[in-house]
Amino acid sequence: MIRFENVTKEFPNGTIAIDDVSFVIDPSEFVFLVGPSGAGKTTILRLLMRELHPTSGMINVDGSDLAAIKKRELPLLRRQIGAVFQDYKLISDRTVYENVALVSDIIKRTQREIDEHVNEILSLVGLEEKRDLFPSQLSGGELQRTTIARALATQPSIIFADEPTGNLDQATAWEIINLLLMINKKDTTVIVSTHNQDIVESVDKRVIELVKGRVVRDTKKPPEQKAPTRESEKSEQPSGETPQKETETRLEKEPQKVENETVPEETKVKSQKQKRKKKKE
Amino acid sequence: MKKSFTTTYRHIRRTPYQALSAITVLTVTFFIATLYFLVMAGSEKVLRYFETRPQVTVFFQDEAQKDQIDALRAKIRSNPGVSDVKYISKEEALTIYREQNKDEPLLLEMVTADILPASLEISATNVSNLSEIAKIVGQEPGVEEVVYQEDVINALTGWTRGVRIAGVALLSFLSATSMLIILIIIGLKISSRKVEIEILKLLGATNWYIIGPYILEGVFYGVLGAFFAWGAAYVLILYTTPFLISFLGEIPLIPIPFVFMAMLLAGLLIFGAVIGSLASLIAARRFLR
Repeated sequence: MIRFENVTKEFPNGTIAIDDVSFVIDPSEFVFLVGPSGAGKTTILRLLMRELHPTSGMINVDGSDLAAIKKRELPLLRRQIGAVFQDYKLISDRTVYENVALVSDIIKRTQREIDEHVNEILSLVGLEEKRDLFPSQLSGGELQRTTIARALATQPSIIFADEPTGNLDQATAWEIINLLLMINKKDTTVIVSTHNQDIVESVDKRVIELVKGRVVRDTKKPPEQKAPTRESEKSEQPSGETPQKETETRLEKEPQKVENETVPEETKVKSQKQKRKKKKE
Repeated sequence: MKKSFTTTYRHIRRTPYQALSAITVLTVTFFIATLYFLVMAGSEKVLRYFETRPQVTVFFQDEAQKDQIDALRAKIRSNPGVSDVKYISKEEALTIYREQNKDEPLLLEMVTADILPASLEISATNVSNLSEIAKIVGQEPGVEEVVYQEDVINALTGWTRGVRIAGVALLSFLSATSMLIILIIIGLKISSRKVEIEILKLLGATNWYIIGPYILEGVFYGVLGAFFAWGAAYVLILYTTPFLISFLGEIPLIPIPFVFMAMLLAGLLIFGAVIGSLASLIAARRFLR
């Protein structure tokens, strides 16, 4: 669970990045953090990673007050949160495999474990065939999928994707969102910061909207209506079709629509692969 | 740890010229330090050699009695400032004289044991005791003359002290230079990988995970530089051994025992490793703040 309580972050130059922000994100929840550029979305990620300290307020992740975490314990917190950065933050002289394996190495897995785990994740994100390529040889979508693979490598309880679709075309953006929804299905809390309204409106998930550092909209349902797990979410849907199902249906349709117009051949193949995988599931 | 070695190897492999320049400069630095250390150790040994040689010679009058000499010998031996006393009889003095002048038959012709005085050769534990010993024995009956090499020893002591001070200064300067070289090279490497370090931090890497390979790299440069310097110094010593033996005469300095050289190698490797790790640590810490 992530809890922000009246969090304000003011930079030394007087800029207030976020102002009295409060929200709670439950385990296994999928949340969109939306807002225009400069609204404070990235600041929230940086506060969550304790790259920054809040000027005031309290941040709590899985029961730990971030302010109370000692510097030497910081790596443990960061391993708990899989971050997907807008600028990818991949190491340029390491291959896809090495970039993903790096995190496993940090948490001291054996080489055999690393091999097994990384291969599994690469196949999950559809990058098995690109494993030996360097970041400079990858497309935007592949780069983003590599960062997602790396974020998954520690099996974190939380994934924070900061503008994961920011530099991508619509079809690839949908592939990435698809992937994040799939990860969320496996009980991982997923927070996606984006200003892609199309995606946010198409996927029926909780939205926290920030404008000038303040929360102006939070679509979190009241506790009695809220569905903390996927199972209970399903049972609470009166229409018989769960929002997840709706989302999946939309996701199936959406990339198809774009594919006909702009999607390159390679991406189409990948989309088909992914669909086939889904059907199998 | 194995992973740190792999990363270190990758760092070195990807910047071979930096590694080569670091090792070369460190080899030269350690080579000069090694040679100077050998000079220091050698001068200490030369001083010790002279200190253990008889430094005070007491010549007796011809009429001095054997019991007088024995009494004086016993008295001097009991002095805590004296390390050794050796009696040279008139006959032994003649043997020594003959040995020293064997190439000059003219000098040998006229000399007999009678005209040479008996003597006591006294070695002091410390050079500073020489004048006191000379003063004591000079007042004894039967003593004709007391000769001691205070000036020679004093000059040698002064030189040795000078060599030692200059050596400490030079070794400190060379250590600082070696550290700076490693610090600059590792600092450059870390600086060029600043982004990678930031990423590693965000991914939850510990400080040791990040800086470990850089410290190992510094140790590698230091150890390799020390080893090559030792090798070069040893080759130089072996090459100049015939010259050094004739130059040093009877001073038993050469050949340098292998055990001493092995100990010197061990010391140099430790020194190189310490310098390398310390410099890398300083360079890395700046980027971990």
